[in-house]
Amino acid sequence: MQYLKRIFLLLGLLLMPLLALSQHKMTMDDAGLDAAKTYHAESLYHMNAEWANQNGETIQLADYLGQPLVLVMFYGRCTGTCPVLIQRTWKLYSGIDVDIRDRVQVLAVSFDYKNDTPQALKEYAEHEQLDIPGWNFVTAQQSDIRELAMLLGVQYRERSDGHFEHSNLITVLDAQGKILLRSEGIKGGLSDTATTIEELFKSDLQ
Amino acid sequence: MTYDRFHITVFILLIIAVRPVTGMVYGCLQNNLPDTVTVKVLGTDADARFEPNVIQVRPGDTVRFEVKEGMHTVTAYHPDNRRELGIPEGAESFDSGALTAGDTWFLTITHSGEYNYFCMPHELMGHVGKIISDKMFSNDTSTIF
Repeated sequence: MQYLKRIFLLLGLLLMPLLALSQHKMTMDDAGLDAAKTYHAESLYHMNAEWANQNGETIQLADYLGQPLVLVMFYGRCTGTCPVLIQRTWKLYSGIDVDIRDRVQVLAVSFDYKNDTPQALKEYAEHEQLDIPGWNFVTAQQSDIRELAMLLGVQYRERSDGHFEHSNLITVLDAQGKILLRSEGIKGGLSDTATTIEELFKSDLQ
Repeated sequence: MTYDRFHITVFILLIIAVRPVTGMVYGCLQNNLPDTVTVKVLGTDADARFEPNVIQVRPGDTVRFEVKEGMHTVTAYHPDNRRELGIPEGAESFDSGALTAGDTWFLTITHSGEYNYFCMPHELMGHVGKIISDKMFSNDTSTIF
């Protein structure tokens, strides 16, 4: 009996490292699976807000996880800088290598939650001939729009006449939702920015 | 060496006779030189406008856009700017980008035909312009409707 106890003890000691090793491997595998679903601490893709696009579809930023995103904030009735900002976003987009352009996503978020309904955004997108795959013009609840603006560093305020004063900013997020690039203002060339974005997109998409 | 009255008279008559010819040659040369036509960009919202909003030029002429107030663009009706083609086929698309008060932007006209353009922020308010280019136009008519 004493002899058998010693054998079990010996077997236990021999098997413990193997058990520990298999446990470690399982933990690593689990971590590997989770990594694709979790967000970087600085990711914007963790936002839970629901956005309605020009086609009445619901979008979440998490939908873009795994792919880079060009983000711009604007409002449809703007007779100031927004049309120029959208044009700059278009130039940025059309300046990207044609081989990867189709995989580039653009999200244009309106400040004007009162007037920029999905239907108004549809009309806007159609007029601007930007009702195309990969381009989403979206609206959401006021608090969600404000939260996104804060995260992007976009400042805006509604004037008494219903128009908005706002920053002019194009932001590029990487595949993990981190801010990679910010192009501020409405003047100056974008070719360098397009090249930089192109390289970032290529590396993220590899 | 002295000149008699006859030679002096002939010399004066020659100058008088030649002067209109040299004037015509100079006028023709001047008429064929490229010209610069100025368009003022005025207004802010509903009153935004190009002044004059239709001009006549010849290929090779330059149009100078002077922004007096507000924020505007001078943008071609062209697929590059997501609009139907409104400039002569083969002519290069253009877009000034944002121009503010005090800015000047130049456009050189290369082709004959109509160049239709608009201001991005105020297009829906009718802030559009037209340049009609024809080599038959003279300098005298190169401005303005």
